[in-house]
Amino acid sequence: MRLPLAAAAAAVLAAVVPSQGRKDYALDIAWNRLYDYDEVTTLCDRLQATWPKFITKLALGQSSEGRTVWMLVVNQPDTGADTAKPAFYSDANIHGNEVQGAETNLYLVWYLMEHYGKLDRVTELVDRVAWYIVPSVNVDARAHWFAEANTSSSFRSGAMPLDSDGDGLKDEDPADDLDGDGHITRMRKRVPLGEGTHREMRDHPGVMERVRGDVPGDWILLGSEGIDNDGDGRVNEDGPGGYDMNRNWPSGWAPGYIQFGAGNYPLSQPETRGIADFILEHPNIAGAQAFHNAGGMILRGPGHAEYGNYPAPDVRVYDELGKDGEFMLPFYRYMVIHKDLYTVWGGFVNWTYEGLGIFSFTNEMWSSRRMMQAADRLSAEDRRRWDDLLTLGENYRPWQPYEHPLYGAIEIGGSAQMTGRLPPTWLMEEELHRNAAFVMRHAEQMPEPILGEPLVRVAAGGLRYVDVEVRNDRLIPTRSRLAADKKIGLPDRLEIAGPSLRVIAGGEPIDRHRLMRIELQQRDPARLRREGGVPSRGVWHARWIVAGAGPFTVHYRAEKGRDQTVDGSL
Amino acid sequence: MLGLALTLVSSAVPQGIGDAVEALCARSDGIATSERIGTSRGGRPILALTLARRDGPSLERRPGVLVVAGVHGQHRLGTDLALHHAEALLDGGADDRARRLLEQGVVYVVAQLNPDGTALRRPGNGTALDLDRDGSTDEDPHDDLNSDGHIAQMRWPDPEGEWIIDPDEPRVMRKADPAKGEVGTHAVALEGIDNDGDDRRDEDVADGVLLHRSFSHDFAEHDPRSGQVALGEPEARALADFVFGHRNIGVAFVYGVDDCLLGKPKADKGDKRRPLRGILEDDAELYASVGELYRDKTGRSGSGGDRHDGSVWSWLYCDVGVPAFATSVWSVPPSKAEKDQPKPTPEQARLAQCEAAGRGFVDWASVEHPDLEDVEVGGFVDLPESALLADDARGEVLDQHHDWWLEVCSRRPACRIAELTAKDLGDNAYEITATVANDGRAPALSAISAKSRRFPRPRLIFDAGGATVVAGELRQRTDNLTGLGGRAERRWIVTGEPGTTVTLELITDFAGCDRKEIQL
Repeated sequence: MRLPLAAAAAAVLAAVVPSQGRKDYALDIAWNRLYDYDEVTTLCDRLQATWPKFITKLALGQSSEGRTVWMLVVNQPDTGADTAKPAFYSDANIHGNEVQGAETNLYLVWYLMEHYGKLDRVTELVDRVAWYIVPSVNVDARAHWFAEANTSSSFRSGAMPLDSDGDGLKDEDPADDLDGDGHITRMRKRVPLGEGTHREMRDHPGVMERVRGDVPGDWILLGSEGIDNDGDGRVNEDGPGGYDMNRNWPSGWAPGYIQFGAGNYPLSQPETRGIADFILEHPNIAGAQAFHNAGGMILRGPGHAEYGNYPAPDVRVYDELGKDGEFMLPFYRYMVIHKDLYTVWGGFVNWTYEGLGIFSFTNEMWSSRRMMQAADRLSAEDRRRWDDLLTLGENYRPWQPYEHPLYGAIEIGGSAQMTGRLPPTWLMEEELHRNAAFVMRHAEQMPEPILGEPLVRVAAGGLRYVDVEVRNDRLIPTRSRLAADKKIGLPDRLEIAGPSLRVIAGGEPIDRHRLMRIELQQRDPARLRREGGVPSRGVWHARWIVAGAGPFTVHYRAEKGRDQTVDGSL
Repeated sequence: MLGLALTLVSSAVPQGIGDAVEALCARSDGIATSERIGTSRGGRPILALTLARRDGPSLERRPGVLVVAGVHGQHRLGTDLALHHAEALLDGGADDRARRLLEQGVVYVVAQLNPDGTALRRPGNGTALDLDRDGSTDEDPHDDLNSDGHIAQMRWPDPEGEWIIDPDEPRVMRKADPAKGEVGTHAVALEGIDNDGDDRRDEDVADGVLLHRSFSHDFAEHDPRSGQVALGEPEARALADFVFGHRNIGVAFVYGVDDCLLGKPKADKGDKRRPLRGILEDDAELYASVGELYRDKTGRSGSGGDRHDGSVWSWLYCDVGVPAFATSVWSVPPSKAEKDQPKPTPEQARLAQCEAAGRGFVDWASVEHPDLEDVEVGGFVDLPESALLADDARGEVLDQHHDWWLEVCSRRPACRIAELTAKDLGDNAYEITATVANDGRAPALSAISAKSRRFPRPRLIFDAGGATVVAGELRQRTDNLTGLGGRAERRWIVTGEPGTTVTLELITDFAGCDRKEIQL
């Protein structure tokens, strides 16, 4: 076994003495704030400039408005090309308003680089694994979300104009920042007592609560801030875009009338197409992660009940990682998308697993339970109290009178844009780290098949047995059961060759004591193939019966493992 | 039976349709134009013809008819029919249906979606595949062992073989029937050798991705012949982008190996929580009537096959929301027994057809084979049945199909503002009443077009000019107007000076558009 990574790591380790309590960073980045698209691009450049040997910035294509979707490739070239290693793919922000995954991905890259050579496990993660990191997928919406007034939930879509209300016009009636305060909040109108659906909370004026039973209401809510821009009698019915790029992926794709926002066909958007092309060209990707918000979830597929269940051995892998995630991410729950959340057709992690056999998670970042670090949900009242006492009012826009062209005298106010789906700035770094750590945990468990030294034994008639073992001590097998069942990609291969060696037969031993008991491969015995690869924390034991003499080489190849050779002699 | 030694194969050089399309446009007096809508995997152009008289309403406001053919690379009869529609429309001045179609509608023809397949004489496109998953692509294709330019069959004596030489017609092979005490004597396969030395023959054939299995509805994921992902091939995307770029396409025709006209397509209630498993029950009558007309006009019978996964027509229907009708155009007719003669076997019927067409069959002759003993090459050439249509029968088949096609096209919805009146209510107030009617045979929206939500119901846009609307909607939709005179009425109250012009516009995607004015 001659893995170059051990040497590379040792060289760095010798030079560094880790110290407690003080860290000198090569690159200072504030992780208690968010970054807009241009700033994300700048951070990519700064990361690349600080660690040019390890980081490459790739353009995965142009968004519908012409922005570049960036990928950072993190790879230690001394241990081989990225394509020769198992790789981890992580992206975020495919929903434009779900922003903090971009910072999480940048944090991940930064953390790996800052701790390379200082922490053994990080060093291993950089030496052994290639990283494909797309900080932000929906770059247009990210740019708009920061630059313009939005709600915490608006601009989920990409920015390609779409006629959402079927009137022949595109994006002609968006929400409007009527009071010009930089937020899209809500509109309310006072009505005679008894005619309203809501009232203000007694102890927290300004917080609206729905009235029930015989409690009279004196307010009605009129939706998001906006006017009837196109004079069709409806308000805010055709805002920017109007589709959902996380319903545009190929596996289990369904048309728009089944799945809202699916797009014209799988990968019809330039952003999803660019990413898919990259992933299809990189069968070495062995783990995948997508960051969303919110709700505190670690999600896996299936996205829809029709799919049935994932194969049991793969579910065991998912469960183990999911349980680790629940420990690492307080108040996050490990869930199955269609059972525990809702039905999704054409979701990203559904494609990467169901289509490509890659273990994949979606994290819905930030749970409101983290506001008070308590399992109980905050009441609306306590939420306001939290805001009053801890954010000093930052998350709430006070109600202000406004003369609306359609509704007359109304008031505008409510939750600010940066609330609800995001941690407050002072909890941000912790959120980024815990999620990045979950990714590192997943990546650590990607397969590491190691080809052992050959064992040569005498068989009858001058023939020999040659045995080798490929051992994988990680949780994730070199081929998921799904990949094996659906024949995705290439099986793992073990090939023996030598100038004076002739292969008589080959296969897998099935009896520890009786050498002749072998499950023989039917044809081409010099090149053994194993559809299921090297299992989770398991071994592929191969045995050849050979004739001849002299040296030989055994070559192991796997899509999601490093190619390796060992030499032997008869 | 013909006594001479036959080599019934066509020597026509496969070629693109570029010249034919260019010639057609040149002589069309501006009715036909062509555009390149994409490029095949192998770099060949994919062309679309647009046929319409250019005077009158703008093309995107006219009901559109789409014809797609040449999806299966060797189904050239479909391409011929698609081009025949175009030619016959140009030449068919006397046919009212053709004239109206060109004046009121617009026809889009994508006659050769798979130019790679045609050029390379394969069913799929130019994408290289690794079917045997050995890391190499297309490395063990069929081989033309006798160098006659065609892949036919090969047979060799094999005690485990399932085939026998037909005792009644020694030129064809048929499966032995154990019930009759027959024992197989031969193995039969397509011509080929083990090119890559892996002990298997023709296990990684160069057929390309089958475009007719590559679309998104019921896509066979993980079958490499369907492509890596649904609509992943450039040809499929070119067609999809063209279709989504033309919202006025309200009906489509697909000519290739799939069929939904001879057989009855499966119907589905339409559960909104999952993709469709067939056509909507509410469209079953539409398909039944078009199918019946088809069988009437063409005299064809039999079943059309039941594989529709990833097909163009099921994609157009289920995922785009446009009714689409697919036919193989022609296949070897189901064999019938002559008087006092036994019913011919399918192989005998196919041989008879090869003889009539003068192609598709090769006489058996010995060849040298590297791995097998006593091999003979001959028998049927690997072609879809549609290639066996005799040249002298071709004209009639194309004409019958064109007649059917025109008839279906003429059944399209035709919505208009039938009436627009202004009633004086005194004090400069007027009641405006509009009646919208669909005079066509089909409803304004088929069940799938309505369900797809891509196509809104007919829209009315009211412009009061200098008057003011005091009651009524400025923009609204009607119900889905049924065929054969479905009507809807809408009213407005306006106030304005006498003589003011009020305008009403009717807009549909493919059921016709209209505009009327009235003075107060």
